[in-house]
Amino acid sequence: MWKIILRRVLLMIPELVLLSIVIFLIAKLMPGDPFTGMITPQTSPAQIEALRVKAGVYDPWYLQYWHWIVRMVHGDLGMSYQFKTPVGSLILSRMGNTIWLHLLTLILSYSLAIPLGLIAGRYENSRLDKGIMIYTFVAYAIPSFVFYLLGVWLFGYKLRWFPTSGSVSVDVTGTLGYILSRLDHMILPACLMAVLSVTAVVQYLRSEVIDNKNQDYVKTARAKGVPEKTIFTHHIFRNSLLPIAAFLGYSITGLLGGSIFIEQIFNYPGMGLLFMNSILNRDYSVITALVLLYGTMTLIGSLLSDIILSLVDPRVRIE
Amino acid sequence: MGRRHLFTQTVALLTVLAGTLAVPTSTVLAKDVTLKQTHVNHKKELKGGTLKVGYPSNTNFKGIFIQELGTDSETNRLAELGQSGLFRKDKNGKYVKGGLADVSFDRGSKIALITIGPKTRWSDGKPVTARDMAFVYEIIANKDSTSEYYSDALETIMGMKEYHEGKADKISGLQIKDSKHLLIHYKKMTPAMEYVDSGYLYNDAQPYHYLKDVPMSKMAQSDKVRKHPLFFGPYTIKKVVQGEAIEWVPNKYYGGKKPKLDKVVEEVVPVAQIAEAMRSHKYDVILHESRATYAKTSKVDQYVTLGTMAYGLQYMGFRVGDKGANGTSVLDKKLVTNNRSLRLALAYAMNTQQIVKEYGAGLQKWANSMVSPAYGAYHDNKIKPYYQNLKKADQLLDRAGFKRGKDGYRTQPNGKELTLHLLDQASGRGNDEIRANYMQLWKKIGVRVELVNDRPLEFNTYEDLLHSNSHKFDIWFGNWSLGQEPSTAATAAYSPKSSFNHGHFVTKENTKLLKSLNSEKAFNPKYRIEQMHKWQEYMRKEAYVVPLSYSYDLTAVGKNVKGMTVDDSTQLTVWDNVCLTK
Repeated sequence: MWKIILRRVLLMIPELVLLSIVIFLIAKLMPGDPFTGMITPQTSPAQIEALRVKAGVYDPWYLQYWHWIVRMVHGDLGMSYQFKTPVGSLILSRMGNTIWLHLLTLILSYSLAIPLGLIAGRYENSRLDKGIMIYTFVAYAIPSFVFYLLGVWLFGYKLRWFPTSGSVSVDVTGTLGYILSRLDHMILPACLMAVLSVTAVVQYLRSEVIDNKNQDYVKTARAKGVPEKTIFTHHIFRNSLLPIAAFLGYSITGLLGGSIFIEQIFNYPGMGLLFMNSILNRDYSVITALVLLYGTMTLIGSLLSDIILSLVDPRVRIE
Repeated sequence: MGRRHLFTQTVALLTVLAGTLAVPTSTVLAKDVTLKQTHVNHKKELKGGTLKVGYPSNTNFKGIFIQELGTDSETNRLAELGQSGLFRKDKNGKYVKGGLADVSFDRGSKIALITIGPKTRWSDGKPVTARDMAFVYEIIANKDSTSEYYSDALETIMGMKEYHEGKADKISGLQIKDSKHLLIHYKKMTPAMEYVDSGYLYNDAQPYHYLKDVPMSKMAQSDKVRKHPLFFGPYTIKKVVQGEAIEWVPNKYYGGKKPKLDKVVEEVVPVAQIAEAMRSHKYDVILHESRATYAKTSKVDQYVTLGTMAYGLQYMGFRVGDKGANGTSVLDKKLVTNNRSLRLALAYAMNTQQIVKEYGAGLQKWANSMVSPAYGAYHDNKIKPYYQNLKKADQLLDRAGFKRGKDGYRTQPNGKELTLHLLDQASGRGNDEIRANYMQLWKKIGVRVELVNDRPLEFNTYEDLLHSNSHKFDIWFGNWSLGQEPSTAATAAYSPKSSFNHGHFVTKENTKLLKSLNSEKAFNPKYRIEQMHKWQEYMRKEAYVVPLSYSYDLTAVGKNVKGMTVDDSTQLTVWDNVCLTK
């Protein structure tokens, strides 16, 4: 298995090189550049042109790509034009916010979805099952930004349980105070995201539980007198987790993805907002670094999913 | 005008607060909305307290607390508490005595003399010196600097070009007489330099003693600039949460009146939340409230909205020429848009008055001239706007030989098909409706107008096309965001060499008028104002550009706040007297 994993990792190298060329070219094909709109009647066009030349905007694409690759190999992702700060440290600062928020969301989401999926599958066609199904359909159908805004309005402004924007209070003191404030700012967006993101897990789990209920090994267990509860928690549960394990790898790497809607509504400085603003402002160095990061994460996610799957189900082997 | 409001634009925003208005009263009238410039509160003031300020924005502020290096208007606006200019100015944006530093001009010797007040200190207690003021020019012009503000205007300072090109270690035109006096030697003097935002003189200082060891190329990312900056204004930063919030405390070394508040907390508020934040009175002051949210928030009775008219305007331009050699615009007489009757007909067909009334939320004013009333006496309020008159528009076209065909559309006087291509930027549903309305009206007078690429363009594509020498468009909708120096409204975009002369409009008369605005005679404000009025009249007659509307900049102030104003011509900064009441 280790050989296979190593081979998969090595295969990622040409894939990433190809991906980086595509990303780079697409970014350059976009109209405008980081300096578009910067020239105002009071600024000198010559100065902006000088900055364009300095930034290599007029160099041939392959030269720009080569410079970019060489710098990246040396750990330098370039400078952000709009933030005037190294891209690496900019992404790292946003990455922390995004990872914590999405980790909390992931935990909450699975904590909610797994019991709901199991219950729905076990009590198929009951009122409880129908209720859960309606909830998942509504959660899937509702526009996320509407739901988030409703959440802010109710829990942030009406009930005043949670902060309504940002990632931490500015006037907080001490390390503990800082951690608690960060957590306080994450709870509402994480809960709202978790409530909306359960559909896939619940539906997969429910159908797997229903399928497994009629399998021979379950009938055998029942015949042997194993209590119904144990059958569900020990036998059916593990087998039903297979499809969920299949996309757990993507969920883990997806922690970095960020969410544009939640970050914009809560003014939460994460990767989603950074990515969107970088595209709008043609901040090439940030765009290319982020897309490459997402691409790498997707490849790793795919590998992780396969590994997790093989761990959960010994019958599955990576070939 | 731009996606990013740059330093100059931001200074314009700062100075918008100075409120140089055409109307001599302290209020601005738009439709039936009255916007005050100062919030009067007679309640007894509280000692100290924390003022909460919200800034509606969907982006995180960049947090570069050196205006000369910054790229976003949010940071500059939020930093007004600490850095709002050293010089005092009058309602026309002209420098006057009485600031933390004063400037005087010696035209004969081509010198500006800056005198820094004895009480003017940085928030670390060190005095603001002439070296600090000279440092501002070095930050902008240094060859390693990341600043975008180096300009032709700065090159009128002796030795600036040599320093910028790395040929000299110092800017020879900056002479530090002593710690409190700086002399700036210019190659030539111009009336514009006596005004804020001219680009010739910077209304700022940066702490040389604090930043001298930071390399120029890394200054914008330094913690000394982003996390622990120094200020000479009434408040100084205690803590910053990058992109989200700033905590301010009084600058105990401030050279003006002692600040009245214990603390000011500024936060970026997502635009979607602003109405609810105001209803629940989460903030005492909301800066830069948008027109879009005003319709909802104006009904929240805990707030009073203060307003000042912006320096720019929304307009429609005609492309009448090309960019020639050396970037100089050249009129192309073969272009159909060079027909004055056609331009006037299009202007008279537009129902802008109605549009401003219906879509402006009472916060826009129908523009009569190319110069906003924000420029005070420089705006000519006697100029008539283009009142909608479809009959007149038809007559103009008939007389000029634009004959109607069977399909209702006109042909050019030479018999060729007449189709004008309109360039516009995608900016929301309201804009789509307005554009469709204008296109229908032009159809009524027989002028076929088609949208470039059949749709409004995304910002970058729009800007690329506008700045190119493309023949893809004949007319375009745009808006200007300008500085406070009055002649900018004319010279910035309509002089032959301006890269903003997107329509490439050049005439002898126009060039003559523009030159007169910064001529020797124009040091006399009366003459300058007269020439500015003549230029507005000329532009009205020729209709190379059709002014559409002026807008207001809004600040919502809680009724528990006292001393808040958006007019900084009466005091050092707008925050000088702000306090809370019971």
